[in-house]
Amino acid sequence: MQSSRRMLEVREVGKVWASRAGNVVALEGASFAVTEGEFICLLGPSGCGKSTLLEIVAGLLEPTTGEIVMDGERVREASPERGMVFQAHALFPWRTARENVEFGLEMRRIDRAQRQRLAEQLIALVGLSGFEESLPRELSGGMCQRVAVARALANSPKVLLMDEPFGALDAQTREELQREITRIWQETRTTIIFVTHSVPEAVILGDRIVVMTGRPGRIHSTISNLLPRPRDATSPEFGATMRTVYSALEDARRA
Amino acid sequence: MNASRRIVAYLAPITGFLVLFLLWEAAIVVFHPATVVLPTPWQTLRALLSMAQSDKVWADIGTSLFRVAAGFAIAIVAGVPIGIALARSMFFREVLAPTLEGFRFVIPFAWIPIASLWFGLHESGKVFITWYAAFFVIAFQTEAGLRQVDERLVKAAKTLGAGSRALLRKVYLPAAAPMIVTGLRLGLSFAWISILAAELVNAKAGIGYFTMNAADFFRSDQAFAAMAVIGVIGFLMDRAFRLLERRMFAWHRSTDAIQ
Repeated sequence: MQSSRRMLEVREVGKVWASRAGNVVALEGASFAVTEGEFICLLGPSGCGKSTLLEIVAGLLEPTTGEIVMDGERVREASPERGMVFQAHALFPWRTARENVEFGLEMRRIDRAQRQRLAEQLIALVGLSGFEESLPRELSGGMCQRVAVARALANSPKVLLMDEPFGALDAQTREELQREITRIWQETRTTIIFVTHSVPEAVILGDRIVVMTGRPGRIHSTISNLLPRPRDATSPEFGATMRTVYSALEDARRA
Repeated sequence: MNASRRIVAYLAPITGFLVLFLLWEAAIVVFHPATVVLPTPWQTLRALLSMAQSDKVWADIGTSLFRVAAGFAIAIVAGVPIGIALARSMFFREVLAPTLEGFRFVIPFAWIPIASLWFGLHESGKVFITWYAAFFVIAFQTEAGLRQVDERLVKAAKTLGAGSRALLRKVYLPAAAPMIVTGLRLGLSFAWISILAAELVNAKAGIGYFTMNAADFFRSDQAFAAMAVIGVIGFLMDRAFRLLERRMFAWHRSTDAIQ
C-alpha cells in the first residue's frame, strides 16, 4: 500500500535550551526517516523532548543542531504542508467549528462557497456533522480534537503532526478517537507522526514506534509494528508487541 | 434565572436608590439646611423636570457628549495602533513604555490649566483633555490583551499557513478583542469624567459648565439635578459597552469577570 519514498528526514537533530542554571540539553542526535503514507509513533516518557522534536519538525522551533529535510528541502519555518494537532486542542475560541476548519482555507484565499463546502466535508469526515456552528466551548474535549484534526486536514498536509492529541481525554473517548484517527488515516492516506507516552496507544496506532530516552531525549530504537488492522488489543499478538515495546522503553529508561 | 430572581434583580437597584433618597430627606428633616446648601429631593426633581424642557440644557449635554466622542475617537485611532506596536516590538516597548507609563500618573485634570493656556476656550482644548483621559488605558489594554494571547493559538495558526499580517488580523486582534473593548469602555468613562472637570474650570458650554453656573447663581437644585444627569449618562454609556461586550464575546467566558 505504501510507496517506499522517504518524504521526511530528521537528521541529527539536537536542541539546547539556555536557562539560568546553564544549558539544558533537551534533545540530542535524533535521526529517523518517514516514508510516505506511514503512521509513526514517537514514544517516550514525559519531558523526553518528543514534543520539542515534533515542533522542530513542524518548523515552529529552530533546532540547535541538525536539520529536518522534507522532499529534499530543508525545513525553515512552519508550513501548511505539515499540519499540526496540539495536546490541548488550540482551536480559535471565537470561531465556530466550521470557521476553525476554514482557517487554513482562508489563508489560501479560497472563496467562501468552496471553503464552506470543504469544511462541511471535513467535519463529516471527523464525524461531527450537525455541530458546524458550535463554538469550541460548547463542544466536549473529544469533539474539539476532532475539529482540530479536520482543521489540520483542510490544508491537505503531506504530513500530520499530532502532539499527544488524546492525552487529556478520558479513556473511552481516547479509544474511540484512536479508532477514528486510524480510519481517517486510511481514508486520506496522510502520513502521520504521532507523539504519545502511552504504550497501548503507540501499539494500536503505529506502523513503526520510535522509542525515546528521557533527558536528554535520544532515540533509543525503532520497532516496526506489522499487526494487521483493525487491531485487537486483546489478541496475544498485540500483547507480545506491547511486551516488546515495554521492554524497549524500560531499557531506554535505564540507558 | 427564574421569575422571582428576576424581580429581585430589578428591585434591588431601585431599593438602593430609594434608601439614598430617604437618607437625603432625613438629613433635611434633621438639619434644616438652607436650600442653597442642600435642596430637597423634590426640589431637585422639579429642577430636573424643568431642565428637561430647556433646549439650552439639552444643547449643553450635546456639547459635552460631542467633546467626549471626539476625544474618544482620536484616542482609539491613536491608542490601538500604539498598543499594537508596544506588544509587537521590543524596541518600541523599551523606548516608549516607561514614558507612557509616567504620563499615566499625570491625571487629565493636571492638564486642564495647560490646556486652557494652549487652546483658550477653543473646543480643541476640551477634546485634548478627553483624548488624554482615554488614550492611555486604551493603549495599555490593547498591549496587555495582545501579550496574553495563548501561544498555542499562534503556533496553530502558523502551521495553518498564517503569515505575520494574518496572525495579527485573524489571531492576535480577535483574541485580544475582549480586553481591548474593556479598554475602550474604561477610556470612555475616563473621558466623560474628565470633560466635566474641564468644563467646571474652563468652558462656556457643556453640562459641567451648566453645573458650575447653577452653583454660581445659588441654584443648588439645578446643580444637583445636573449631577444626576451626569451620573445617569455615564452609567448608561458603561452599561451599553458591557452589553456589547457580552454580545460580541460570548466565546470569552471571563468577560463578565473583567471589571
